[in-house]
Amino acid sequence: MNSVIGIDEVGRGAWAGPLLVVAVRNKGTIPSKINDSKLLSANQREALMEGIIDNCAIGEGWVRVEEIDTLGLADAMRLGVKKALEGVGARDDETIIMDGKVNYAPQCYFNVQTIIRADSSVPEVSAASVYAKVLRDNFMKDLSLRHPEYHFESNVGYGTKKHQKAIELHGITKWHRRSFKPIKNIERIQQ
Amino acid sequence: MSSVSTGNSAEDIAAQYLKKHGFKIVNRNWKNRYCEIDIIASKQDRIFFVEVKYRSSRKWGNGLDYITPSKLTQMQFAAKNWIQSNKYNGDYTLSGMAVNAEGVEEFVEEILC
Repeated sequence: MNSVIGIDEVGRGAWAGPLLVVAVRNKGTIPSKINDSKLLSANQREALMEGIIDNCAIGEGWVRVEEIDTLGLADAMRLGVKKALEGVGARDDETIIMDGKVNYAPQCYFNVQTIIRADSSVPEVSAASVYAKVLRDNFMKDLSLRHPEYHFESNVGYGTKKHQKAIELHGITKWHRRSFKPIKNIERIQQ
Repeated sequence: MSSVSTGNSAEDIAAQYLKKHGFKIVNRNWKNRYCEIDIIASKQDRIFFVEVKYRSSRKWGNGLDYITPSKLTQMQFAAKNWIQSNKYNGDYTLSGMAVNAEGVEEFVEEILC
């Protein structure tokens, strides 16, 4: 049977926190009602997690802040996709469907398709999207316990006015992406 | 709260935390006549044997401080018992989770033996 691996990422545009790429291969029946993670509530996403874990093989590709700052975003994406595909044990000839326009998979995977909005049309990509969002959101929630002043539990590292004010007030942490323009700008003003 | 119910609710918190972080719960309170394991979870073809330590207050230190070398030896022994009885031949890791009254304080995925 030809299996399909769906890939999606979360945290690409965030000012803080890691980038997470997830690869999902369906082994059973992906829960129905699965859709783009961004259209579901946090509770709906968490409720879908068990079904995803029970029915799918999953590979996680975490890319750390210092890797994002060193590599740049495009290569960080490539690293995340590589780790996720290795994690799920992808074969070179497997069909891989990636959300978006750019193929970030290593060249050895020769059957890659990029589909815009695949996170709402391909169940494997939807599952990857939900799984990635739940994991990264929970990672940022954990981080907010150590750094409550940045409100990571609500902004999950993304740029908001409140987040910007918190950085101006409390400084830049090791969790912030110094290579990103808004963080660079704050750093420059503070020097 | 009795120590049994405290332990159970700490394990509930720990199990919830693991599920939210992509783990599948394989067993809870697995035991045989020689040993027991609080939570056995799996993720990406790896089994995690999780020891859950509850401390009501930080003044008694982090719960993981109580995972001593002899406790680790017991965990290793229990893990091997589970592996044998389930004929499992994949990767595994010993993990520790510190839970306090506010929730999960720390999760160490891989305790180095």
